[in-house]
Formats: sequence, C-alpha cells, structure tokens
Amino acid sequence: MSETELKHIAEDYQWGFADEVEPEVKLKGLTPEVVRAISEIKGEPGWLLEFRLQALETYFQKPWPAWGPDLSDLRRQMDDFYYYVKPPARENARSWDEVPEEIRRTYEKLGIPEAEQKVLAGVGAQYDSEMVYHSIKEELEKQGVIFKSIEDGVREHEDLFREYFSRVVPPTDNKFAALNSALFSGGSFVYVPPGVEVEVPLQAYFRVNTEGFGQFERTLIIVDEGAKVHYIEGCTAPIYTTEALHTGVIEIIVKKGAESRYTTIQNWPVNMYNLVTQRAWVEEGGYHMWLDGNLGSKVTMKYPSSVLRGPGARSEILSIAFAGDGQHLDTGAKLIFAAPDTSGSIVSKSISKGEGRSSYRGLVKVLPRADRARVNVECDALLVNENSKTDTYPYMEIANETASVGHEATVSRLADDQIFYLTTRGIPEDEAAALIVRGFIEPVAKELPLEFAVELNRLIELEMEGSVG
Amino acid sequence: MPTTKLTPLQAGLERLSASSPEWLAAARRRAYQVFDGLEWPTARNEAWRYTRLDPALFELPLEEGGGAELLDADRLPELVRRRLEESEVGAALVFVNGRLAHLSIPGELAARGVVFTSLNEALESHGERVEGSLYQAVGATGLKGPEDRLAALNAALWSYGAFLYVPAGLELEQPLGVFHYADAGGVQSHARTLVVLDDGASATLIEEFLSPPLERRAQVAVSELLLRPGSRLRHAAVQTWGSGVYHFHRQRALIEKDALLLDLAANLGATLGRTEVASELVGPGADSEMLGVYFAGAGQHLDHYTTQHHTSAQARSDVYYKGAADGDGKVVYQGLIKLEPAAQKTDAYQTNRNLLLSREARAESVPQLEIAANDVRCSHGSSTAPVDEGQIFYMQTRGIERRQAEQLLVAAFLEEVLGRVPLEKLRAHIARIIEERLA
Repeated sequence: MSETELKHIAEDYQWGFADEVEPEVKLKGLTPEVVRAISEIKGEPGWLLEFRLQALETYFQKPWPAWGPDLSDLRRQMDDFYYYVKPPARENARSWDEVPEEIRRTYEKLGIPEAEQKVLAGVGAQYDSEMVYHSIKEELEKQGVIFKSIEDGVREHEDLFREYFSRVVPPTDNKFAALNSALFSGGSFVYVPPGVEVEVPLQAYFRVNTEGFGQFERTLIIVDEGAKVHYIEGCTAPIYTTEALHTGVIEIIVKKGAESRYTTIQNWPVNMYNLVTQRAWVEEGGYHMWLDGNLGSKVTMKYPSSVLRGPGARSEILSIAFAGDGQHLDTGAKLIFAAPDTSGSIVSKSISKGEGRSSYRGLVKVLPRADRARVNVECDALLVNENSKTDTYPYMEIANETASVGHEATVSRLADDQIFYLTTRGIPEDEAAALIVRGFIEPVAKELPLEFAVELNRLIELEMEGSVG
Repeated sequence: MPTTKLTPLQAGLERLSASSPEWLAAARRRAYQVFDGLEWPTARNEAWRYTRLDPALFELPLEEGGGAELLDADRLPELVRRRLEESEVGAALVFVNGRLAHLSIPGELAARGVVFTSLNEALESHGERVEGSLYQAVGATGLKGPEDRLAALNAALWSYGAFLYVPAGLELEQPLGVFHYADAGGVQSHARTLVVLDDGASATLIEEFLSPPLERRAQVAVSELLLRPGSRLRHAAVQTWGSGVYHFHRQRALIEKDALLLDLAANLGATLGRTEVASELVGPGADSEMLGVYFAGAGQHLDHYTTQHHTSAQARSDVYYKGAADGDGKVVYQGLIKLEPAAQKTDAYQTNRNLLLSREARAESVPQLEIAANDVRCSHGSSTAPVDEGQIFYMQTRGIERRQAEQLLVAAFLEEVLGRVPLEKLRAHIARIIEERLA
C-alpha cells in the first residue's frame, strides 16, 4: 500500500489512532515454544496445553485454502507476526478506574463506558491479547449469568468449559480454526442458566494496538434451556503500513427452547486480514440469529454457521458487507439442517464501491434425517462504481425429498435515475446515494439495536461521501 | 528418441496423428502434452466437487472409430433406425461405434454450399475450412486445470465426429441430425462436433447419443459451435445412453455480434453424465439461451455445469435448467455467470430447479455469479422442493393413482423448459422417455 493511499484511508477511518502503550510481553513467530509460553503465562491446566500443541500441528498440516480471496501476502508474513502481546494492565478489571489511563482513554473515545451505562448488560474489553475489562450488571450475576474472559472461564468453571469447548468448532475444522486453537487468548465465556432472559445485550469490544500483531480471541457461549441472550462484538485498530491478522473462533450452544443473537459490527482498518470461524449448535425448538456486519478489513473470510440439531430448531443469518477500495470481503453463511422440521433463512446485502469486491459464499445442507426442512436464501448486491465487483457462490446440497430450499440473488447498480430523482427534490448527491444504500440494507439493519443502527447509518454516510458524481 | 514402450494412449495418438494432416497431427500432440501435464480432477476442484471421475475409465482401450462403413437406413441397428424414422431431421449422419454408418443428405444442401459430413471426410474435402475453425472454441490453449484434462484428451484423441458449415445468409429450415449410436462396451470413445455458421446463416442441429445397456463405455464428446455475426443456431444435445455408459460432454459456443444460440441439453440416460455447456458472448447483441432438462433414476448420476461468459458489452444470456431425481438418482447443477469489466449493459439470468421424488434421491445446486461490471442486470435463482402434496391429493380425489399423478407433475415441471423448444417430435421423444422412467 502506498503512503498516499494510506493517508487517504487514514483520513476516512476515524479509529486509526494508536496508543503509546508498552506491552509487558511480546511473543513473535509461530512455534511450539510460543504456544507453551502463552499457556504458561495463563497458568493453564495441562490438557489445554496439549490441546494447543496438537492444534498447532493441525495448522501446519492443513493446506492453505485453494479458493476465495488471495492470501499469498498473508502467507509470506506468517513468521513475522507477534502472536501474543500482553498489555501492561491487570487482567479483567471490574471497574474502568482499574484500567490504565492510556488504555481507558481509547475505550472512552470509542464510547464503550458510556454505552455500558446506558444500553448494555455487560461489557468485555480486549486490548491486543488480553481482556483488560470485564463486567456484568449485578442482578444478572445474581441470577447465575456468567460473563467472563475465556481465561477466567477456564480457571473458575473448568468442568463446564471443558464440556463444551472446541466441540462446535474443533481445531480440525479449518486451517484458521486450528491456528486460533493453538494461540487463543482473550474473548468471552458466557453461560446463561435455564430460563434466565438477559434482555439487554452483552458487548465485547476488540481493540488491536500493536503493529504487526495477530489477535486470536475465543468465545464460548452456552445458552441453557429456555434462556435468552444477545451478544454484540465490535472491533477497531490503528492504521499501520504493515498488515495485521485477526482470527477469532466463536462457539455457541443454544439449548432446548433457548434463544440467542450474536451481532458483529466489524470495522477493522484496511490492513487487517479478518479470518473468523463462527458456529452455533441449535437444539430442539431453539433459535439463533447471526447478524454479521462487515465494513472494514483488507480481506475478510467469514461464514457464520448454524447447525440445527434438534427438531423444530430455527436460525436466521443476516449479513451486510460494504467493500471499498483495497477490500475483498468474502462473507456469507452456512445452514446445516440435521433434524426434522427445522427452518432457516439467510439474507445477505452487499455493497461494492470504488474497486471494492464483495463475495457471498454460502452453504445450505439438508441431511437425510431433516424431514420438512425449509430454507430461503436471498442475496442482493449493489454496485456503486464502474470498477466495483461482486460474486455469489451459493452451495445447496439437498438429501431429503421433503425439504424445500430456495435461493434468489440479484445484482444491480446504484441507479442514476433514483439519485437524479432525489437531487431534483433538493437532496445533495452524496446524501441521495447514502439514502439509497441505507434503504438497500434496511431489511438487515432494522434488526440491530437502535444505537448500533444509528452508528451503521453514520458509517455508511461517511463511506458514501464523494462516491458518486 | 529413446525407444520406450508407448502407453495405449500414446499409441493411439501416434496412430491418429499418422492419419491426420500435418497441422492436425501437431495440434493433437500439443493437446496430448497438455493432457499429460495435468492431474485428473478430484473433489478438491470446485467444478468437480460433487462428481467422482474414475481415472480407470481412461485406461479402457481406445475405440478405433473413424472411417465409414455405410449401410442403408433399414439395415441400421433397430434403436437408431427407429429414432431416425421418428425424428424431424431432414438430413442425418449416423455413427455406430465411432464409424460413419449412414448418411442421408438431400443433394440440394450441398448445392447451396452447405457442408454436412463426418469431420474426417471434411478434413479431406474442406481441409482449409476445418483447419480455420477446429479447436477455436475448445482447443489446447486455455486448458489449465485438472477440470480441463478430459477436453485436452479429446482434442488429442478424437477419432470421429460431425462437421457442419452453413454459408453466409443461408437459412436452413429443416433440422439436421447427428446420431451417436454405440453397442460396444469396454472402450473409451472420443467424438468431436464442429459447427460453423457464417454471417447471417441459420440452422438447427440435433445431436443424439443413444445405446442399449452396455458394459462400461466411456464416451467423451466435444462440441464446438462457432456463430459468426448475425447467425442463428438452434442446437440440442439429447443424451439417452443405456446404463453402463459414462458420458462426458463439453460444449462451447463462441457467439459473435448479434448472433443467437438457442441450446437445449437433455440428459436422461447413462450411469454417469457430466455435461458442460458454455457460451462465450464476444460481441454486442450476442444472445444465448441455454435450456436443460434431466431425469436421474436409480443408479444414475447426472452432473451439469453451465458457463455464461460475457466478454462484450450489450449481450444477453439466460440459463434455465430443470430436473428431477428418483430412486437413488443424483442430480448436480453448477453454473457460473461471469461478467468481465467490459461487459456493461449485460442482461444475464440463471435458474435451476430440482424435484426430488424419493427418499434416496439427491440434488446439489450451485448457481454462481462473478460480476466485474456495474451497469448490468443479473439474477439467479435455485430451488429444490418435493412434489406438491396438495396437487397429488387433488388428483387422487379425481381417481388418478399416486404414481401417475407424480408423472403428470414431473411432466408439467419439465414442460416449462421444453415448452420453449419448438421441435415437436423431439419434445414428444423426451416426454415419452421420462414417462417410461416413472412408470
């Protein structure tokens, strides 16, 4: 990336500031020694170290993907990343006062403590490799809701943790799940006891500060029978000239009759490779929603999946991708129907601007036992400029004759006549374009909590400035 | 040159090259080198994700093919004789086990400058015309991945096939037919069809592939369709092989300015069928309608891959593939609409619909878009669903047996595609086969 390009990007990206924070520990390179050191710093049980080392083997054995975005630049840099960076902060402060000032200021700029007061049930904040803050409202804690860092999950709830950890996404699932399994640090451990309904969202915020760094958070969420939860994650980082890597693994278990939502608003800078595995198991009568918003990153490969394992389980996956210059967002969704009377839907809205490229890649798989499974997929792509690109790769594998599977996709461009109409009504061109884009993503955006929908609209307005005309 | 023992394929290459003109021999050798340098496709190739290619098929001896042993129509094997009688074609070439066995061509065609004969014969009688056109749509260049290995093998080792040339401005009313009949198993056979429609010409060509049940026969067929500006071709490839045949067909059309291709691929027979139908829209106003119907019964696996490649602006393409699977039959549809940056003002559509009729039936559907131009209209849709129980119930209350009701629903389902093909006799033939299969 050239300096001017970078400057241009840095101007548009308001979270690109970096903090003067000297880490306590920085570990470079992809070796068993680094894995051992991470495990030792965390004081982990022996089984978990074994698990990590085995996963590193799996990572080395698995080939690089032969499909999707070009990862050759990333591949060349794999030996040069810092794989663990411990910030100079005590772990898991429960009050923002305990967070070192320069780090706290970052979260204040991002508006996290304020949102916590107003609209959230709990907040976790990760800075580089560690959660520096984790707090949940007292009344939820009293009802037995657990919302902790993944490390505290291992330490304080080892049996529960071990029962579910890596069952939904085993290290063998894909190369980057293996990498995360070897190196994971930070992320949340969430447990909602039977029948408990967490009405306002829990939020985790991921911040990368160190240059040339790989962040590998790991989140495990267990929603027990009849319980309810909404978890939101957001991410930003400074702009560096070198590339960075974010490889998370999110595992969610939605038990009988439970309901969960997982919302991501990803706004990494355009030097980030964002390669994430997210999967939910949904048991009988349960419901899970993925809402996946991808605005940032250089390359994203991310396909939130739901496996409908119990009769009557349901899942919705809503996806927004907005790719500008220098971005290739390969996003999508997977729905696996593994029980009778399961149902699901996927709605994907992508926007490509400038030379941006957004790709939808999805899988709908109906297993032989999934009688009467029903699924509908809708993918719409909007192309803003002449050089914008879009792809659609939906895979449908149907092994049950009573299943009903539908897929529709359209590609259209930002219509001159619509913009013209709006300008004749006195709306400036940029605003008109932003208005059309907002209307285009409305079916997905309306599922966001209000504060996030407002933020998303604001981001779109920023993105659309100067994009037409 | 070291005196190593030639493999059977190399020996075949030598034999075929020896009887080819120099330019063709060289092209065959180049293609063989490409073949030799590629691996067989496996499930790791996205285009072969759902179909296993058994390399042992290409260790079967090569069918000799080529040459001619002409018979009167009434001495042809019964199956193909009956098709010839029932078909609407006004001129026909019949190949039996790769040899030209019959040709019935009205003299007036030749008088008007039409060349319709076997490719081998055309090499002698119209060598220059063949040289200028062969391997234009499917040649050794551009074959890069394992998914192209079969096309390279065919380019090297084709032994027979048909050639059609229609001169500029000539409009042929009556359909022409090419019948590929076989009753020999235990071989691999490579056929090649070359169609050239000059500026403004118009023709209809039906290719049929048919046989009784056979012991393991690998049939590789390539069709090259060259549509010069303003020409119009209706083309149908109707595959009704008996069980035991493994059918691999790659068709590619180059469609120039204002030319129109109306294509139908019907896949009803064979143990394994893999059909690749591609249209290259290389000039403004080019138009490609690509229809497909298929029915996979017990023990059958039918795979389809369509490509709509728009390199020019202002062209149009439309894919509509529908099929059903019964017993443990498996159907696969994959397709790609690819728009290059120059392909502004494109209209491209793609629809696949499948019907599953039994517990063990399977359908895979992957309709894909790669769009690099913004002023376009593109959409695709796919659906897989059971037969409508409400409709079955309605018919049952009217005294129609369940199986018969299903038959009617499948026929109605496929009629949506077949209804677009104004070849009455061909449609009746396809409908009858599906009816028999469901009985």
